[in-house]
Amino acid sequence: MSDSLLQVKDLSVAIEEGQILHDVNLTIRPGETHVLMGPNGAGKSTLGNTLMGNPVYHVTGGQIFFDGQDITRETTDKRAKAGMFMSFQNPLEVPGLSLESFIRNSLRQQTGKPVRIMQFKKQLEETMALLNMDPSYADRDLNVGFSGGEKKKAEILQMLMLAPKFAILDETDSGLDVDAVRTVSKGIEEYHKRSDGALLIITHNAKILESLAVDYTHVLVKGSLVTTGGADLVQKINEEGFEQYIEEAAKANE
Amino acid sequence: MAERANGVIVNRLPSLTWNRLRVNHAFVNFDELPETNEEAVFTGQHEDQVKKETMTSADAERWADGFSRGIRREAYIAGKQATYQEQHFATALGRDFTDLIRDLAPETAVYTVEEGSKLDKPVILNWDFGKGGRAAAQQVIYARKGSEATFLLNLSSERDALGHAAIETKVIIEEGAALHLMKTNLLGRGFVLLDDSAAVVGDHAEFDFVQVELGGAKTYTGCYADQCGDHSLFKVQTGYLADQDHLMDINYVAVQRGKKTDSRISVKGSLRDQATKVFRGTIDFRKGAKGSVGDEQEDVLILDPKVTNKTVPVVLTEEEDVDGRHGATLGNLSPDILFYLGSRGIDKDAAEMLMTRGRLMSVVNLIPDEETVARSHHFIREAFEANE
Repeated sequence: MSDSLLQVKDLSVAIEEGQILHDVNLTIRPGETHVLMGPNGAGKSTLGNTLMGNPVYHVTGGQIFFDGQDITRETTDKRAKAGMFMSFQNPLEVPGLSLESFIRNSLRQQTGKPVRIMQFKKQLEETMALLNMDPSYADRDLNVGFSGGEKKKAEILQMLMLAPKFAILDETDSGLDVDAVRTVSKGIEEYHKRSDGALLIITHNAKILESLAVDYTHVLVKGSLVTTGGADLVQKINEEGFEQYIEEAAKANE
Repeated sequence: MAERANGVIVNRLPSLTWNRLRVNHAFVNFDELPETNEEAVFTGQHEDQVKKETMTSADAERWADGFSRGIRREAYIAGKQATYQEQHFATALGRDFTDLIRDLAPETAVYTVEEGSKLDKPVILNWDFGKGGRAAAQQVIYARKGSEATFLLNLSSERDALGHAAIETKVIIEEGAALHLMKTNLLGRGFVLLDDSAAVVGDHAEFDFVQVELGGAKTYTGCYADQCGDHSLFKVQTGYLADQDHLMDINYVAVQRGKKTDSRISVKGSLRDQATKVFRGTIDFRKGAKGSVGDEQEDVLILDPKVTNKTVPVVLTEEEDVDGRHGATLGNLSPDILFYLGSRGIDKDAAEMLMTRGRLMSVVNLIPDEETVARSHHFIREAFEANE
C-alpha cells in the first residue's frame, strides 16, 4: 500500500446522537476515481466530512492516512494544505468575502506564497469560462444569492483553481439540471486532465459519471462498506437499486 | 450632573431612551482630552487647488453659523420632555465638545472650493503623531455653488503610541455642490480620539462621508448633516475595527428638512476580544421634508463572545410623506463557516482577518489615494498579526 494516496483503516465515526460509520476500509491511489453510493442516511456524507476533518464528527476508532501521514487528528485547514479538498453538498453563503478573494486567499494559505495577481486573474477567467460562469460572479460575495447550480459550479471552480491531490465531491450533482450536470462533469474531466488528481465522488446519480472513467465503486449501507466493484457496479445499482445490499447488511447484522 | 464637572458629554442621542441602557450619550473625562495642539506633524497635499485661510476659531464658528439658516437650538427629547441645547451649527459630538475644541484649537483652517470648480485630486490633510502626543484641530470646508471636491483627513501614529487627539470638521455645501469628506484613523493603540464632523447641505447638494476607524483605544466620533436643501443627499459609508478592550462610540444624525432629501447610512465593522461598540444612527424627518427617504444599515461581525455591541437605530418624523428604514446584520464565524473556509486551507485566524478585511476594504477602497489605502490594508493585517 505504499503507493496509496488515501488510506482509511477500520474507521468508525460517531456524532452526539450515536455511531454512524463502522470499521470502514478504503484505499485510493493517485489519479484514481472512486464512486461512493448508498441509500439515504447510509453515512456517505459522514465519511466525506470525516475525511476532511469536520469537528462535528468524532473518530471513535481507526485511522486515516494521507500521503503517508496519519491525519486522523489533524485540523481541516492542515488537511487542505496537504492537498485534500471537498466540494460541499450545500456550500455556505459567506457575506463580506468575494469568490475571487476566497480562492486567492485559499491559494495563498495553501502555498504559503503571495499569488501573482495577473496570472491568477487570467486563470480564473479562463476557468470560469470553461464552467459557463458569468465572470461577474468573481466579485460577488461567496455563494450569496447564487442559484443552486452556480453554487456547485463555484465549488468545481475552486477545485480547478486549487488543484488538490485528492477531491471529495459530496453530491455535487444533486439538484442540478441536465445542462449543469454536463458542465460540472466537464469540470471534473478538466481536473483529471490538469492535475491527475484522485476523486471520491459521492452520488445518487449515474449521469455525472457518464463521461468519467470510474475505477472503483463502493456501496455503503448503514455505515458499513458492503461491497466494492468496478465501473459496471454503477450501472447495476442504477438498474436494481440498493435493496439487495440493504438485505445483505440486515442479514449480516442478525 | 456630577459627571459634567469631570469631563464632557458627547454623542447625545437626539431621542433619549432608558438611561440604564447607557446609550443616551458618552462621557469623556477631561484627562482624556488634549491640553495642547502642538504635538502632531501636519502635512497637506494638493492644498493649492483651494483657497486656504486661517481664522480665529471663535470667528470661524460665528461665520459658519451664518450658513445654518437661523437654527437656534436642537432638542433632546425624552418622552414628552425636551431639553434644548444652543448650537447654531449642530454637530454630532455636540455643544460641549465645540466649546472645548474652540479653546484647544484657537485657530481654524478654512478651505474654500470656488464656485463651479471641480478638483482633479483629493486635498489630503495628514496629522502624524509619531511616537505619541496631544493635538487638536478645527477645519471648515466651504464648497461653493456647483463645485466638487474630495478632502481626505488622515490621523496616524506609531502602532504602540499613546496620545489624545481632537478634530472638528464643519462642512458647508452650497446649491448643486458635491463634497466628499473622508477620514481615516490609523492611530496607535493608546490613543483617545474625538472626531466630529458636521455639514449644512444645500439644495441639490451632496455630502458624501467616508470614515475608516481602525486605530485608537477610545474613539468618540460622529457626523451630523443638516439637510436643509431640497433634493440634498447625505451618504455615509463607515468601516471600523475594534479589538482588545477598546471603545468605538459612533453617532450619526441626518436631519432632513428639505423636500425630497435622501440619506443613506451604511456602517460595517468587526469586533473582537473585549471591545465595545455603541452605534447611534438617527434619521430625523422634519416638517416639510415631503417625499424624503432615509435608510441606515449596519453590518457587524462579532468575533468573540466577550465583545459588547450596542446599536440604537432611530427614525423620527414630523412629516407623513417620508420613507425611513433601518436594518442590522449580525454575523459571526460559525463552526460551519470555519469548516468551510478550513476545507480550503484557511485557519481560524486567517478566516477572521479575511472576513474583517472583506468588510472594511469595501469602505477603504472608496478612498482615492493609493498610499492611504495601502496603509489601511497594512494596519488591518498588523492588527490581526499582533493578536496572534
